[in-house]
Parts: sequence; structure tokens; C-alpha cells
Amino acid sequence: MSSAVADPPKILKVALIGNPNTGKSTVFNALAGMNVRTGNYPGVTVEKKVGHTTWNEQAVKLIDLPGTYSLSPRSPDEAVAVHVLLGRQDDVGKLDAVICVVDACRLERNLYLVSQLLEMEIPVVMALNMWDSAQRRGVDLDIKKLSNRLGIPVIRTSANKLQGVDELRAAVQTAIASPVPSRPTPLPDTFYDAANLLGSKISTVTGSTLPAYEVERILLDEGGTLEQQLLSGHPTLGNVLVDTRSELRQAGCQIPSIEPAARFQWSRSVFGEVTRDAGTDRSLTERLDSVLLHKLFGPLAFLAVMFLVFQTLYTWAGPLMDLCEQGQGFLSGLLETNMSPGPFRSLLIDGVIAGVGGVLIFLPQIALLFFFISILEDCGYMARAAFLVDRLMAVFGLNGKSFLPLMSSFACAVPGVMATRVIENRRDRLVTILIAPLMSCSARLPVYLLLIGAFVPATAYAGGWVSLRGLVLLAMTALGAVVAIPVALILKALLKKSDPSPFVLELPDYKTPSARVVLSRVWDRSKAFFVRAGTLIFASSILIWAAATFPGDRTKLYELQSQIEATDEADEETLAALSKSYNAENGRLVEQSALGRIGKVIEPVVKPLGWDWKIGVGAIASFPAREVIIATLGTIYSLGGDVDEEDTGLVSAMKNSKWPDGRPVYNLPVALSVMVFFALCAQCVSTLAIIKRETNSWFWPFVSFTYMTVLAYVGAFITYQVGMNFV
Amino acid sequence: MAKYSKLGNLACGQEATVAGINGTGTVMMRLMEIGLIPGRTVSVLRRAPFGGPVELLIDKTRLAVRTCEADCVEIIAAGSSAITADVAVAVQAEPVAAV
Repeated sequence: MSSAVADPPKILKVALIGNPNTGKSTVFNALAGMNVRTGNYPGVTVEKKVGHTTWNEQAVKLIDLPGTYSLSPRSPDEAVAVHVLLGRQDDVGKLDAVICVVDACRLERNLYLVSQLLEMEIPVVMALNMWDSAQRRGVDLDIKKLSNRLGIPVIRTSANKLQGVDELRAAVQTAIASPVPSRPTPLPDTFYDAANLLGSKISTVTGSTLPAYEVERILLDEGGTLEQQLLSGHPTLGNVLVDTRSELRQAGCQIPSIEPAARFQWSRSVFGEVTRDAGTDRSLTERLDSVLLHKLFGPLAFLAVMFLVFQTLYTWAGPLMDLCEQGQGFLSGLLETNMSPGPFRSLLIDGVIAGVGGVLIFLPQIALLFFFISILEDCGYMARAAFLVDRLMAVFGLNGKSFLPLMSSFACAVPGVMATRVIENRRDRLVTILIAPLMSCSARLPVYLLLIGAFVPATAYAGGWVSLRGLVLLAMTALGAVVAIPVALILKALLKKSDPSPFVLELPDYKTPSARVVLSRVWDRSKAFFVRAGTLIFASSILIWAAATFPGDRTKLYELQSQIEATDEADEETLAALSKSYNAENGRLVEQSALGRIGKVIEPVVKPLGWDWKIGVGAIASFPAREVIIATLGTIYSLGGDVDEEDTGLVSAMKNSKWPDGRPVYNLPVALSVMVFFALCAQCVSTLAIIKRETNSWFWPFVSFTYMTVLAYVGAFITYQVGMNFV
Repeated sequence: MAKYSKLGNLACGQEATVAGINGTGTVMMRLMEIGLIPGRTVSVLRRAPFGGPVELLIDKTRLAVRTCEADCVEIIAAGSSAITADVAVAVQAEPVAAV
């Protein structure tokens, strides 16, 4: 055992790859368990999903690569998988083995990717997944023959039932210890001869030897990412490449179309050799699709599903959100009774608990939304939804896969932005990310409810069926989505067309969703939201708290607070007097705090919107989250921090609020102007943080914030100026 | 004479043989990688409402592409006379598998 102490512990690195819809994530979850971290590869928008686990006391790092039909990278994003597999991705290092997840019902198609993997000269293990459903269809394969033919272990798995997972682990460890199988050569010999020659020419010029697969890719993918990366350092090789390709073409080896033709030919012959019975297609999927994708019933079913999801979302999220709020109140109360008033207690209650609570309150909604999304995705319906709405989304310059993220954004932009990962086209994904925060999320609702309740008259039309308040609420909810249409078209025109990949959507067989897959995805997404957005919103809440607290001598305030808490609750008269002086003192302190001073400075900027400095400060202070404006206005109007949209004290304070010349601050145009501002602005740190995370750059959150703030300001300005003509 | 038509024009439920792919670079390669290879069979299962994507059946797999991309695929409808010379060439161009 002494040698084990001397050797540094080696962590095995194993990557997973597979076609879309092969259950790769299920295999990954089964192998990695709960200890999974997601991030980004440097410089690209590809999700880096890494799991840490131990197999027979051996530490293993599992890397989940994006699902793909082929390893011929056309964009830097697609090149990541090839770099990782070839051990040329610095932040991953050299791999020890690769697990290729294959759909047992579609072996022939999946062999395309397998043939490319085998050419990479790394230990490969095939997980022949969804074996249970293959058996139900009567698929009969000669596994031993397949394994011999490919020279790699082939393990039958049904990862959703955890079947075959132990065998898969063992096979990976055996494969690592065994010699790498010889490469298949599905393309003509002339191609490989030319690639060898090119490889030696490249190593003469660059001084380093590239893996054979990379040289072949450079030769095949004309204008591809790997070629560009090579030529940017060694432009002289350009001519060599052009000559090699034209020689090959003259020899009848048509680049690039030779590759798919040859690989499909190879796949077909391997499949033919190992297949005893190809099985029969279950007709269930076809029968369901004849209704769910029907020209008339399809869209109707789609609307029904969406209605059901949102209806349930709001019904179920409500009580959970109340629970969060109660917990928050309980905790604040606990601190209040056990700590004497002072800056530290104020930091904990007004900064930490209020800030973290502001994030937690959205957690039920996000978790529930991902619960429904995961179910719809796992059962196969989500692909049908994308199929049905693609035409509609194309009008706005997007594609069918943008629908789900935008729909989710009506609950909260954070899961919406996270859900854009399904969009392969980089430009469509970016546009979707940038317009998602315009959808009217649930955080805007409290702001609308407060202002509509206070300043929109309760006029009813059509015999009481239609109320003006309802109409205004509807208009505010629709505003963002309507504005998003021209914004999407403009963004689409501005962003350069980097990768013209066609819209390809696989419609997988319907299946019963797996509880393990659904719950692990909910867990994964909720954790990502809570950890990433939580830390940022937490930090900014403390900043805002500090800006509203300092500078200022709060001794008198804390004294009043202690007196209030010491006073007998029955003594209402004293309590009222104390509260009044407490509120006045609080208002004075806010006014002289950093936040108050900023408010005075920016007043000229917000005056054209019809706002006074207090609303201006509210808008700035609500940068962490839109609904914060209510608490901020509450503080400013000397009511203490604890108010909500139904607070009559806040409403009457706002109604009584006056300009120095005695005119009331609030009227209908001002209320509308504030609402339009909040409909279009980007006052949500969580969203900006998630955009940073998903685009892997500070540039895009900056763009979102800038364009939305400009839109919000202009929108509010127009609303107020036009509105004043009618008052 | 070869009777080519576009995949985008194939009626629902009809089967055809891929004759070739028009188009360049990524679009052509991606369409070939999902199995639209000259000489192979493809059928149209259905179309999405309002001129949306077409759902194709390629080797027992249902894949949807947009009509404009389906139009890059030249086909010979099943039932037309024997495979034409051009397709025969395309099929021949596929090399014999060797490991």
C-alpha cells in the first residue's frame, strides 16, 4: 500500500457524447449522481457540465458534452466538443475514455457519430441506451458481434431504470486499461493518403503534430473552425489545403459530401452485420401525432397545454410563495425580538433577509416551471410545440425553439434565459436571450397592482364585464411582448450571421417521463438560479441598503425604535406619536443618505417623465429587482420598510405627495409613465446575472440593460407627455 | 429524362429517393448528416400549419426541417421510372465500406 501513498491520486476523466434524444443526460445523471457543476467553456456559450464521483475508490470526473449528430465543427461552439475529445481543451485536459450514448432503437443512424469517435484514437465505450424500449419493439442485435466489429465494449443500458449502469462503469475502467482499438477507415484510401501527407506538411510548418482526426477534419470542413484556427497562425498552409482538396476532387473524392455518404454507407454495413431483427415501430407515437400535430387539433391542443401549465403554475406557486414570505417574516421577527435596534440589526433584516428573501420568493415559481418544462421535454411534447410554432416565430425572425424560453419569461426571465440552451443557432439564441426580459414577468405585477389600484379609476364598461383597471393591466402585460417584436427584428439584423445552421428538429418517440430525470433537472436549474443569481442579488441588496442608510446619524432613530418596542401595545396614543416621529426621522435620514442625494441630483433627468426625486430614487433602488420599488417608496414616504401593494398607508401617502408648488405628484399620466418604465426596464440583477452566465460575457448583460433602459425612458417620456395632453 | 422535384413539394405520405442537395457549406452538410444522402429514401409525414416546417421520416427517425431547406433537397418521387443515371452516379460515388 506504500506505493498508493506515494502516487498522486489520479482523477479519471471520462466524457459523454451522443446524438440528441438518446437519453445522454439520463446516463450522465445515473453515473454522476447529484454532485454536478455547470458552467461555461472559456470564450464560448457552450455549457460545461461536470460531475464528480467515485468508482471503486477511484475518483472520476465526468464531462457531459452537448448532444450532436456529428463531430464536424462549423462554429467555435461546436469545436469545443472536438477539442475536449482530442484532449486539446486546456481547461479539461487529456481524457481517459469516452462513453458514446446510442439509442438502441436507432443504432444505424447513431453509428455515424460512433465512426467519428473511433477515429479519435481514445478508449470508447458504447452505452446502447433505451434498451428496454428497443426490446419492447423486438429489436434483436448481436451485441458480441457489434463489440468485435467496432473493437469497443458495448453495454446495454436503460439509464432511466438505472439498468446496466454498473456494467457501464466497469467497462469504462476495463477500456482505459486496454489498448486503443484500431481506427475504422470508412472513407476511400485516397483520402487517408492525402490526409497523412497533409498532416506531415502541417507538422513541418507548425512544428507540432496534430491528431490524425484533426488533420482529416481540417481537410474535410472547408472554411470550418479548425481550418480557420490553423490558418490564422500559419496562413501559408492555405494554398496547401486548396491544392490537396482539388487533387482529391480530381481523383473522384468529392469533398465535403464524400464524408456523410461514406459514413452512412459504413453505418449501414455495420448495422446489417449485427442486426438479427430491426424491430417494428410502435404506432403509438404516430397515432398521438396524428392528433397533436393535426392542422386544426394540433394548435388547439397546444393552447390547451400552455393554458394548463400556466394555470397550474400560478395556482401551485402562490401558497409556496406565501410560505417563503412567512418564513422571511418569522426570521425578521425573531431577530427583532432578540437584537436591539442598530446598524447591524438593520443590515441583517433590511439588507440580508429582505435581499435573499427577494430571491427565494421566486424559487417556487422557477422550480415549478422547470418541473413542467422537464415533463413536457422528457415525454417528447416540447419538440412538437417547437414544430407547431416555428412558422409564427419565424415572422419575428426567431425559430420554434425560441417559444418555450419566451413563454417561461412571462413567469420569470431567469428560467427563460436558462431555457434558451435548446436553441443551437447562436444568433437566434442571443436574440431570444435579449428579448426574454421584455416579457412581463411576475415581479412587475406588484408594481402594476399598486399603481393601478391607486390611480386608475374603477370605471366599468360593457355592463360591468370589462373594467378599465383590467384593461390597463392587460395592456401593461402585453406591452413588453409587443415591443419585443421590432426589437427582435432589429437585433437580428444587427447581429452578424455567424452560423447558418439549418433548423433541424428531431421529433422523438413519446414516452413516460422519468421521475429521476425530471427531478434532477428541477434541482439542477433551481440550484443554478439560487447560487448564481442569489449571490449577486444579495450583494446588491446590501449595497442599496448601505446607500439608503449612510451617511446619517441614526442614534435618534434607533432610540425611537427601542421606545416603540418597549411601549405597551395597548397604549395606542403613545405608540402613534412615537411612530409619527420615527417615520419623520426615517424620512429625513433617507433624504440625506447617499441614495437621497443621488435622487436630488437625478431629479432633472426624471422630471420629463413626470417623476419627482422620490420616484427616481425608487427606480434606481429597484435595480436589484423591480418589486423593490414598493419597499423603497415605503421607506421614502416614511412608512418604514414593511409595505406591500395593498398597503393603504402607502397609497394615501402617494396620493398626498406634493411638488414644492403644491401640485400633487401623482396623477394618471405619472402612474402610467411609471408602469411603462417598469414594463420595459431591465431593473433585475438576477436576469442580468443569468445573461452574463449564459452568454459568458459582460457585454450582453450590458447591451440588455442599456437598450431596455433607453426603451423604458423613452416609453415613459412619451406616455407622460402624451398623457398630460388629456388631463 | 430525369424527373427531379424538390423535397419541399412532396405530398404528405409520399416517399421519394434523394437525388442530390443544392446549397452550400453548412446547410448541405447538416442536411446530409441527418441522413439526406443521395440514393436514400425519405418520406414526408406531415406539414406544420400555416406553411411551417415539414416533418420527414428518414431511417425510422422523424426530423422536421423548414420548407426552404427541404427545397435544397432534390428528389425523385417513388413510382417514377427506374433510378436515373445521375442518382446511379451518386450512389456509386459512395465507397465500399472498409475497416
